[in-house]
Amino acid sequence: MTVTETQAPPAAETTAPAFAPPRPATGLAAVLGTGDHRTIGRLWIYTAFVSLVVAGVTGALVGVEKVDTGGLGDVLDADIFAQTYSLHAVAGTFLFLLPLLIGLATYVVPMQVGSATVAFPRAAAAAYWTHLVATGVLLASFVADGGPFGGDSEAVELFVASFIAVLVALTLASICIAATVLALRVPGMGLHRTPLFSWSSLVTAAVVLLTLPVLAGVMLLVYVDHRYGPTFLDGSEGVFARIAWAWAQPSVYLFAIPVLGIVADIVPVSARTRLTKHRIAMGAIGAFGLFAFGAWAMPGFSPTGGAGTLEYVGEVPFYAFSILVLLPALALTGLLGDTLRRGSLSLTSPLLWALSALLMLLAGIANGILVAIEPLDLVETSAQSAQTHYVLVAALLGLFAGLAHWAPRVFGTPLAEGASKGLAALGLLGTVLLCLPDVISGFLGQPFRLGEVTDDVDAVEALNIASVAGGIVLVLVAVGFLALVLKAATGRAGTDDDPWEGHTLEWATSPLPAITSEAPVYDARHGAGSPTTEAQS
Amino acid sequence: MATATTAPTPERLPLQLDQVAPAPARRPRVVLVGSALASVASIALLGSVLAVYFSVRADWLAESGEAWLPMGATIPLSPGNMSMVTLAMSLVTVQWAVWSGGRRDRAHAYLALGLTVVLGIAHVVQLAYLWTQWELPLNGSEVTAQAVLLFTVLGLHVAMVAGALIFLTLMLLRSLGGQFTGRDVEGLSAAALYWYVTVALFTVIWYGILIVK
Repeated sequence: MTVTETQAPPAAETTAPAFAPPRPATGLAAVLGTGDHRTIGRLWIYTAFVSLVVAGVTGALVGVEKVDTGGLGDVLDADIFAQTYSLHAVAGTFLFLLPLLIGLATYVVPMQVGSATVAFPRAAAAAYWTHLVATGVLLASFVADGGPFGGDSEAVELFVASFIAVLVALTLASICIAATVLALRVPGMGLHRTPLFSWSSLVTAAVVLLTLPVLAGVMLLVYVDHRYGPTFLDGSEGVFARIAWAWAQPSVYLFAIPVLGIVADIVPVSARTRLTKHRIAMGAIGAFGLFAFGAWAMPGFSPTGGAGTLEYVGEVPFYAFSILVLLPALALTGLLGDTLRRGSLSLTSPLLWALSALLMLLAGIANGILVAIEPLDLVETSAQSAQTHYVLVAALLGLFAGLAHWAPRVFGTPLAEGASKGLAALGLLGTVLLCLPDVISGFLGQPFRLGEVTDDVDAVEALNIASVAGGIVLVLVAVGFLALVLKAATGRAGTDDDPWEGHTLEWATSPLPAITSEAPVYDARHGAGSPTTEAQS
Repeated sequence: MATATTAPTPERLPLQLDQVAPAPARRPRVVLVGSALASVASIALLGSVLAVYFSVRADWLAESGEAWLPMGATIPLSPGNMSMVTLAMSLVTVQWAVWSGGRRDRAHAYLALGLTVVLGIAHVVQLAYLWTQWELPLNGSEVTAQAVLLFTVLGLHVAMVAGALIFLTLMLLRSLGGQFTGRDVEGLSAAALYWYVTVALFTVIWYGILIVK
């Protein structure tokens, strides 16, 4: 028997490995399949700006229609006006403000807490793509005569279904951000040392988790009722009433929570000193979040139909929430004012945006207190819509402050500083011009959305023209800011990646500094024993 | 004469656990934290619909003085009770899965998770049977607010159960793939947490809707 021995051929020295790692995707595949928090964050931000265009255009149409107090028909008829108004409100908040916040948080929060990634990156990506598709369907439903007050029954249902999907996507993205802050902080960074933007993102996510699912649940009821009834929720007419509580106080403050964190991160950097009382600032932001929870303040439900009434107006909780929310905002303002006083101020564009946002938020809270005082009879007048605008535009200015501050990280280069400063000043002017006339016309009896004014017609119309002018200024500011963002995003990366000398980990270079306080990069630059240390906080 | 120095031979001593420095504190576990957050959102979601249900029912009873359910409609007790018992049993099996996973007893962990999934499916089947029995149409001209509310509440809970079952199955598959060890049953615990919340919510539905009617 012969045995044939076979020998394996000698292995080549450069044999390809049996399991080669997959080549990283490039181009569109890299975007579609990404789990990178920076890419997902940028996608949220860019998509939000597209929605801002929708919100801006519809807002301008509504504003022009409101100038004439005699009734509808100047630009839009009654049905179209109601749908346009609804689209303006939905697009401005759930398609623009919250997505922009989530985009900024998805990008910045992991870096601030020293994590390489956002928690559940695939879920974060799924949230973005769900939101994108749902946004497209939602806008298409309006085109097909759907949305609140829509005439086409199926298109109305399409709107409700896509709106639920938008809410689910925002909730999922919020879970990812909250889990990042809670579970992925770098060792040494206790929750008490969390940077304030990350902390405010956590607080926002917590309030979102308790608010948006409530809205989604109600929308689900609206969907079933509309599709198989309607039995008790007033068909397409009732849809808006079931959403509108999200833009009234106290829920409207939800959109402004991150503003406090952004401002509190920017002010110490611009003042080139440390924020004292970091934990008190955290407490103030947390308390503001507590008073921003307003799912309890929605119109009641009636078994026999009707949109329900605002039963909470005039009740103790409404007064309490409306007034107490001022306290944490004032406390934080005091801390930031003290920081500015102690530091050596550098008037940067992020600081200008941030201070504008904080001022407008305080104005919105003051306006809200006026609305809550029942004898003034301002509920469902234009003073109430002015409060909503104050707070939402404050959130807009605050998010622009954040984008201007973190532009070197997000877009690779800072925004053009001079132009950004000019836009910030214009933004402040536009906000005052948009809102203050509405507060005054509210005292003159102008209704919330649209309706005839019987007294002081000329004065109210003049005020409405001023308000529209303010809205147009804000649209121009937003367009200008978008141009700055696009210029920064498409330009060459800057050489100075920390032009502000930031305090927190997103500005750190490798290796990460030791975390001995809430401002580790400031510590690394100035020493942990620098004049204002953690001991003071 | 050169002297050679030799390193002392390390003595092999038994490990004294009380002399070992404690391990650095671990961060809360990501999947467990995510599951807890998702549970909060789910409670808010189903809680809102339940709140509307109870509010509308209370107003109906106060205003009309009539029975809440329309004439001819009924909610039989047996399917709802059996559903509750089924889910109560699943609480034991899901905890059994976590416990077995922690003891590296993979066979029992798989068995317990499989049983939990079966019990969850049984619960859905019983609810589907209940829907065929309660004479509350959701089509045609006889649709009532009661039907809208009942179908929405129970349909939403079925969706939650389906989500929890997918979560459990995923964790079962990951366990089979060896991703969880005796020291790390985080995925199983996270899925179990969501399951507990799902069962707790059904308890409210069972008593507040199916029993009290």
